[in-house]
Amino acid sequence: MSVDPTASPKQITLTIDGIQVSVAQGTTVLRAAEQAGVFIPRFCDHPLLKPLGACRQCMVEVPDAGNGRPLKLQTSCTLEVAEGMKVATQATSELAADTQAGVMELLLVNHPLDCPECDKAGECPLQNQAMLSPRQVSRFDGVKRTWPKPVPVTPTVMLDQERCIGCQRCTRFSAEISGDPLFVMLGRGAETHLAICPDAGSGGYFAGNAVQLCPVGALTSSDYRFQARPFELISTQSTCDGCAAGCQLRVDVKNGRVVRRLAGDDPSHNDEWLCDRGRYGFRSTQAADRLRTPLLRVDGQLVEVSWPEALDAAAKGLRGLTGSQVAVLPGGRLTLENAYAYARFAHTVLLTNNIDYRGRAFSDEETKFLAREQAGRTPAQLVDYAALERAKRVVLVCFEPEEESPMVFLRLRRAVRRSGLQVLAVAPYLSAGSRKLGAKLIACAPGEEAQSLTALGHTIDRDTVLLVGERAATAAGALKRAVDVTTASGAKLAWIPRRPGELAAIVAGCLPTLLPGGRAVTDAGARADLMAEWHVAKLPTSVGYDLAGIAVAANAGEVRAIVTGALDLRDLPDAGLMREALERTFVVSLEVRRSEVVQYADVVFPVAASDEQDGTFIDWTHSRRPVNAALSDQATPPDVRVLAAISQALGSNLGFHTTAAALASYDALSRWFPNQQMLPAITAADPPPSVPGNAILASWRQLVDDAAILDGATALRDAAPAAVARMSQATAAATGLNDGAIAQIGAGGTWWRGPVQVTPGMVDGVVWVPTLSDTATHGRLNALPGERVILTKRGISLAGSLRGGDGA
Amino acid sequence: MTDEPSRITEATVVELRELMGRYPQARSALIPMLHLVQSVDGCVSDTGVQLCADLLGISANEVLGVATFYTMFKRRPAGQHHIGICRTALCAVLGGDLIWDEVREKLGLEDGETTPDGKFSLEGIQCNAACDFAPVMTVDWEFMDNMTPERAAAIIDYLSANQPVRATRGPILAGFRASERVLAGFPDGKADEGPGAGEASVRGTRIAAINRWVAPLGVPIPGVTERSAGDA
Amino acid sequence: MSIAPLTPILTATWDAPRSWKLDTYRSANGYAGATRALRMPAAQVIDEVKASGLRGRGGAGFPTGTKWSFVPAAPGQPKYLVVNCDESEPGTCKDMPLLMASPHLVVEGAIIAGYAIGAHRVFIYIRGEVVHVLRRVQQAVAEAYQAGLLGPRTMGVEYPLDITVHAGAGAYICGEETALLDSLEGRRGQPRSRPPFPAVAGLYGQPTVVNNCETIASLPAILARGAAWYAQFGTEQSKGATIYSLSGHVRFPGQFEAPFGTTARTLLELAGGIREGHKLKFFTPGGSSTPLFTEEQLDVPLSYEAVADAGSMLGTKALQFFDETTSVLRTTRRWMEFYAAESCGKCTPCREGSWWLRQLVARLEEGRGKEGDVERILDICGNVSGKTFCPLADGFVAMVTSAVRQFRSEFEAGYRRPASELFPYERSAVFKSATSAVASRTTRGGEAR
Repeated sequence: MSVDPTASPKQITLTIDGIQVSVAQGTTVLRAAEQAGVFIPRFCDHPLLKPLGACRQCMVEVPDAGNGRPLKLQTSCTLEVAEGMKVATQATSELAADTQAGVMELLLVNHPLDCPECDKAGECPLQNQAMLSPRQVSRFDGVKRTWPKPVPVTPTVMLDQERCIGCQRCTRFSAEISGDPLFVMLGRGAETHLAICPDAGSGGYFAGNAVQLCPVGALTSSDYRFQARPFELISTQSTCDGCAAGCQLRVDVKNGRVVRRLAGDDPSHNDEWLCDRGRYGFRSTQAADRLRTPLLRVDGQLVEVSWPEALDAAAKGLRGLTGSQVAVLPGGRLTLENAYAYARFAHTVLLTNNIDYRGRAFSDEETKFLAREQAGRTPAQLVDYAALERAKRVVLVCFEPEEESPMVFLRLRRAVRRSGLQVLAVAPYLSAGSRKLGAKLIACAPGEEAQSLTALGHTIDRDTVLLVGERAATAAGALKRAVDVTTASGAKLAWIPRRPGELAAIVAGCLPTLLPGGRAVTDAGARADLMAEWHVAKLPTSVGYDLAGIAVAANAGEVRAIVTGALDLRDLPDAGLMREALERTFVVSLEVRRSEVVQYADVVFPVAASDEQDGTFIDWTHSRRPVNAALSDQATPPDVRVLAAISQALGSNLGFHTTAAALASYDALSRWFPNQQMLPAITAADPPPSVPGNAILASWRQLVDDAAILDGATALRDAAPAAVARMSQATAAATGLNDGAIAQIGAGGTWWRGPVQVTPGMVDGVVWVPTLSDTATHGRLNALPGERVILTKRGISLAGSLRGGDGA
Repeated sequence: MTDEPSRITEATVVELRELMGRYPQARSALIPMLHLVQSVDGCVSDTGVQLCADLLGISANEVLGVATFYTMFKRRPAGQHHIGICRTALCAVLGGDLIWDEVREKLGLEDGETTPDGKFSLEGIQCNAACDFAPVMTVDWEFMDNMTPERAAAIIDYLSANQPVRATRGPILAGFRASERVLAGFPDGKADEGPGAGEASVRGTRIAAINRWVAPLGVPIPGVTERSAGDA
Repeated sequence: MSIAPLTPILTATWDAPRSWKLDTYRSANGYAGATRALRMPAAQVIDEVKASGLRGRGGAGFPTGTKWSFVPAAPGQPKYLVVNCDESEPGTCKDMPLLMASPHLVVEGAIIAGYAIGAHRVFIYIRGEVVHVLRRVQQAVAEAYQAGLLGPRTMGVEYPLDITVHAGAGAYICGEETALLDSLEGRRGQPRSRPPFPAVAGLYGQPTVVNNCETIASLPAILARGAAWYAQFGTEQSKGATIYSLSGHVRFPGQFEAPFGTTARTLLELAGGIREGHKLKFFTPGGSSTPLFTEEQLDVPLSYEAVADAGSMLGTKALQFFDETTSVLRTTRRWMEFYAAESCGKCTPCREGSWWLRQLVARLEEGRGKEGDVERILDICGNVSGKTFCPLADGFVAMVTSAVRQFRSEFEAGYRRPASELFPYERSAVFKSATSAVASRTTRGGEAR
């Protein structure tokens, strides 16, 4: 439970089983007992859900309610502490112990004794508690309730009604936490049962939490069912690599293979929740295309080779190329240690500032913003989860929390429900997520965010937090305006990227303008400090090429070799240009799977996935989140080791070989401070060039989509939201479209096709499509939000209306 | 759940909104609204569930949670006439079980079923607060007091033949849907039909009158005209 | 002065022609109590009701004036009065005839109570399965509005009061006041956690008083004739008169309004005694949730205190009489099925305990009991009693345990013989059935579903 740190609640002293304990006013007896070291069994109670008092397992005696008078038996989960109260739990009260044993027997009346085939067995609170009960054999010899089972609730969740004990944790999770209607209690009396909401749909993005919350085996995960027994599992606490939220998780491994992920428990970040992307998104590294050995291009074909052969080949290709002749594209999914290794590899081994981790749509405005406002953030500027709850108002700019940072969404929703937080969404329509936040729409066509921020005026005050998503890079002027209005008003600003490695890459210096630690490559003093620290004689002095610049320079023959980390070409704004660049250059690829980049690579090194290595993620709050190897696979080392080995093969020295040493090297830089004055001021980017079109494109990634890390998570993919084209009634009508009709959206000769979903309240003249959807079904649109596109009915040829397009 | 298409119209929506307006908070109207849905569709239809949810701004599952909690709400259409037979201890012992068997056999229905022609539905009901008229049957939630198997059979025969049947304490039976409309809060103007109270209800009153037993008069209170109720 | 055996106050006009009409009610001094109350300060009305000793008629018998006094004064804050006409306790059948024959008693009582607690809005919550009762109340409220008794100026006094008539939809548990409030808010009728009590945070979170129908109906006479008049009836702790409902194997079942402390024997005599040729076996003093009495308790004065002293509860004063033809296993099973069906399903002991007990009692009734079932029944009852959120489970525990205690051998007979052999069911019927084919067949209750 989060408590306002500014208020210190009154302390209440009571006695539980003779142990005196002082707790905050409003605490329940059950929680107070935990603080006194007394565990009272419970099923419906959960610290993050409102008390219900349904299962009655936690009943205790209260000989003195604090007023000298006893109470009848009480459920300790609903009873608030009182000064001087005396409580006797099952440990000291025979009545309480008998009562709890009696309730346990009743709980088992209708609970099937199918533990041998139940997934929950071995980690089941009901089973555990039943084993502690004095009555080991049930006296119930009658007819148990039976139900059809199992029933799929969503593609990821199965319901076994017979096992349900009516604790209503799942229904309360739906109502209080996620806001997704999923479960409902129907009927009454003995017929009371959990049912699936008629409007459950695919269940939203948080359904997996209901499985984890279930204190029996009534809800199980279709992905994990019958996969393992708890005693077969080796569990590791780590940090989720699904997004930049920094959620703590537990990774369960059986026979050298990850079989399950569960939410960890970290009140500063994810509480005990996890989104389904994080929960189920661990299968991609188990795919058949997983790289285990280095590959070398021989006569146009990639063949498996030994590490020394691959290292020799990489060194041979890179040798002699420095400065503007080489480039490094580390990608946005790296740990701090790996990102730092790429940065130091670029700066000291290849002597180049041609490094850009982004591999996604970006702008020069963003480069400057990241350098000045993110790389060099001071603690006072930081926003964390707790700050979201303290705020009176949160403004969402180019940011859909539920889709792009689900844990931020849950935290905002809690603040909305608990403390009346007001959410304003600067967006083209009020998304489902925003509706669940009770957000007010500041209607805005993509590209006009900067003007909308200005128009908000004094609404943005010192109690406001601006949450800006990475899509702001495509909204000219938005980042600059966000900085300006927050500086002027005293509001706080947080930039929330999607990918887990973004912040680490920024602070490690994986941008063409930056050295590690938020200092400019053009800052001679900074370079001198680093040369001393790194024991190198030389560092490149001029700003390097950014992602687009690298592609252009490669095509122009200037850049002749590229070293890439995990890069998904589908995320690039101009993938075609990059493909040509990779085609023309010597490419060294450090990859987990046989991705599209691998097809262009000359040398490929297999690297460890995030659950196979130790390290550190830096989340959007700029806090370090530990990554611990759940698996150790010697064949696939972390990027750090590969880069160190390539350096060695080049006759150079990266300065470290291990993750731990990389972190130590990075931390040694912390005695220097960023110098913002040396970094270029933020200037608004130019709006996109005007092209013919009858609509403006709005687009963002959906949490569950065609993302590579979700490969293999088949059940989750089945639960993905449908890919639709959203537009207002007027926009649809103007094009002769209606709800459900198939729309075609075209730009620059590329296409996206899918059904129309008329969206009330949406800005006219705007069409929204998901950024990444199944290409085979929908095609792929090469256009950025804010650009003009052609919106038509399916079947209408656009050959004549599109510049250079033939509709293919 | 429902197979038949809903008969809910715009006029129903207007009336649902009227019900919402009768309460300080619109959701309080949900039970009356579901009664109204039943008066139109004969059951809480899926259309009705969604409509109530939309009008109240709550989710359909919340509406369903409510609809399945209360026994009067049916998820399959009730018959034109809905027969209830009390199965709680007192009525059952006094002969309700025999009536139950008679009616069940005659209609060929089990608890909760509706005849294929949609004429009758049967429900074993719990105590209906008419124990002094036991065994109790209800038709369309009107009292059919002091029931016997023979009378129950006769009532069914009359209703089958579309002959008028009067409730023992109430009007001529007008069907399940008509009663549901009254329950929703739209009176049908039949309040004055039937006796003030049944024979059993006035037993004590009559014994007192015969014996001239009255409650004592009070000490006269200034400003209040004292008249014994019994003088009326 | 001596008090007559029957004291018709609420029931006085029930037999009058068109007793339910406003004119009839007014001609019998109707609305005199409200007229007086509205000219008194509200606090004085509460004092008057306190002084009368009126206790809640819904079963618990809590002093009405005291309940009202828990409502915070807080002027300007919305307050609500809810009249609980969800009469559903098996055997209880007083409120429905009252509402049918004399609905204006409740309208007038609601005006008095609403005014006393400072409520401007009253809800009359009536169980749904009684459509003609609803008609009468709907009409009475409409009449009262037409006559200017309700509305912006209640009975001509500067005090706005509105009454909304609301039909339930079939749920015994909604007779419990906090479940009723949830139901009235359009939710599943599940009891609420207390505190906060409804007097502080009830309907819509605002101060609310929930009073039973008969309680409210008792107010007009108390206000018209004075607290002292009322307090002269009844006993020290159970003042006034009340409606006793007699049903079952009596010759003339019905409603009998008599002072508190009247014995069951007196009432039984007025009802013509047990049906001819039969003798009393057991009866409930106050509905099915109250432990059974037998002939031995016929002379217990029916007051809250005396019935409690005798080991039961006055409850709703619903006296259900059963003669020697009745199998106690049969009634126990049926009542158990009632509670199992009516349990809201939230608390484990109630939901699962009723499921289990229902099966055990059923197999005993069918002569399929197993040795030890009777002890098991008592043990389960012990595990359920006092472990739940609301008193529904305590009600069935009281019912079952008293049945076992009084008629243990009959339960134990269920190890060997079906109750229908020992107590042929057609003998208990109050009619001679001509359809002998049906009558001779053993009727079985609903199987555990």
